[in-house]
Amino acid sequence: MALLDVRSLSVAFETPSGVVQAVNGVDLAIAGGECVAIVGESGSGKSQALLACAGLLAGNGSASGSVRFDGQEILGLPEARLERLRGPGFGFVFQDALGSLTPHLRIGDQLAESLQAHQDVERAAAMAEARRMLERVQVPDATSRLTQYPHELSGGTRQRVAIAAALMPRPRLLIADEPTTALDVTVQAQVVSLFRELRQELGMTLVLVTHDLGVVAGLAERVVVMYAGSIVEEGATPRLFRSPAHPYTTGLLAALPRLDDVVDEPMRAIAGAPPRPGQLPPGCAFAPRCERRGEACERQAPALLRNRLGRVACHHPALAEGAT
Amino acid sequence: MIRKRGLWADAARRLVANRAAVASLCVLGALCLLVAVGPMLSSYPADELDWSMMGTAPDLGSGHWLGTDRLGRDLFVRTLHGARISLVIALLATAVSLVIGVTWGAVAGYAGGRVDSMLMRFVDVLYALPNIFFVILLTVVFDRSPMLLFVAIGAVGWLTMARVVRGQAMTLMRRDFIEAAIASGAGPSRVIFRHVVPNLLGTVIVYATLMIPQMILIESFLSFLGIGIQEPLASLGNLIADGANEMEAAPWILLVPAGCLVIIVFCFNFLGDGLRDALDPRDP
Repeated sequence: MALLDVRSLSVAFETPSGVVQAVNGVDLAIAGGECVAIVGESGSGKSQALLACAGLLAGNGSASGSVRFDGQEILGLPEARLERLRGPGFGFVFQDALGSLTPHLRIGDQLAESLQAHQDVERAAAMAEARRMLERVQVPDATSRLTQYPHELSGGTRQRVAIAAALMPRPRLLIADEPTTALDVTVQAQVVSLFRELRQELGMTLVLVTHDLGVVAGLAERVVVMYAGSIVEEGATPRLFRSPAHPYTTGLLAALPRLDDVVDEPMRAIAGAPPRPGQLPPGCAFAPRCERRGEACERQAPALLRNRLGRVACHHPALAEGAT
Repeated sequence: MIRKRGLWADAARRLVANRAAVASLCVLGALCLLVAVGPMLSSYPADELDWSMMGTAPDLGSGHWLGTDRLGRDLFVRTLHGARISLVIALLATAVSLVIGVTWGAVAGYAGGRVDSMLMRFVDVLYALPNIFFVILLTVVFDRSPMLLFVAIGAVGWLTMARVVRGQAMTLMRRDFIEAAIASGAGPSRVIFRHVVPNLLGTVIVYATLMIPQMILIESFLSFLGIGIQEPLASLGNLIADGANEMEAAPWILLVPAGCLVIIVFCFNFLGDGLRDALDPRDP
């Protein structure tokens, strides 16, 4: 059975200018021990879908559908029950590591805090565990870091500390929301390899939300591509990179600058802009920007169909041999 | 290795650089010491009437260093007693408003929505009640006592604190570290008291320092009107009221406690100003 089983999840926000639909009926199953990446542009609903899974939507947001974590329905669960589930169930790592560390708490207190919120442990024991966790995420000089404040650390160290904080209650599912976006490239690589090692060591299930396909290629076994609040394609990472079926995925991959590209060649961006939530076109949401659009695309939204290589929502998928 | 400087060490350094604040701190420290041990230095108790020395002018020789009031009581000792009561009431009232106001405001800012509306409308209603009317009502219903006075003052003082804290808490709630704390499963009380309130401390300290002189003034005002501290107990307020009656004949009876009040209020204001600059350097 899947550790996280999401069925027709929709997320809507009530704003002064009306209801905005951020996620439209997402189906997704994540098995224990898996590493899944969710990619898409800003505003594609990838973060909101995952926040909804942990009951962390902003006050004006509401989720419908079903989210089962380890067989237990999450949506509609009272706040007190959610709190108990969060640390040991889900751990979160956010993009802005400095912002996600409480500025007035020393690193040691910060880490001990996230353990003591869930377990009745002595402070000394929690501190010892904090030091072990810092060493595990390869923070150099862990002992002296314990007494430092977040602003005294470098960006990479902060992100490691944020990861350590999320790992303290030993979550079964770690959700990393753009964990490398704010870091420079060398540190990105370190954090990616840290995630890889942690998965091997702890057998942790990891969901990676990102728009960085390089990180995806390095970590994830499976990729889910979202566009305008829906999943448009899903498949094993190597297949998806080799032969993307959905034109949006093709566009994303083509837009990746490569070091061996001719310098003078213009960047291959996808033309147009993603639709504003709440103003989706009647047919396929990607149709206005799609090179392969046909008549059907503008009339009817394509269903997310499963084939042997994964799932794709397109009237004209580019299917490699062996599909269907 | 670079020497470590915490948030508070930094603030202390900036405070020490502010001469007015440091001077105020020294004066206040000296005054507190004087208020605590000063009455023992003089050979006169605060409530002994001396019929032969009614309304004598300040005179170092007689032992009445700052003179006597119209009942012949030593003004130096009475002023120190008055300052002591005024300070204690102001500090207690500030502490009470601090606890209630911070908790109230932080909960409102944390919860938001309907809870926030209800809590803040309650504050609005209390704001609308005329302060003095409320205190007079209390003194009529219950007996007059210093205890009641500080409850009454404190009960009014927390309102503004609650508003200030609520506003700050609301902005903090949008910060990522709060979301991170909630995402790691911290419950409401843990979020409020470990992550929100400590981040408010700078603002709260500054506001409290500026609140103490207000409290002293309110207490003095009530005592001046005769509904605060009662004779034979002295507070700066009723000493000034006494002095105002003899203003023409014996101005020192007014000037001594009034001067003491001015010094205290001045010092707290300077100190509060200095603390604000020290704790919030972004806004000079």
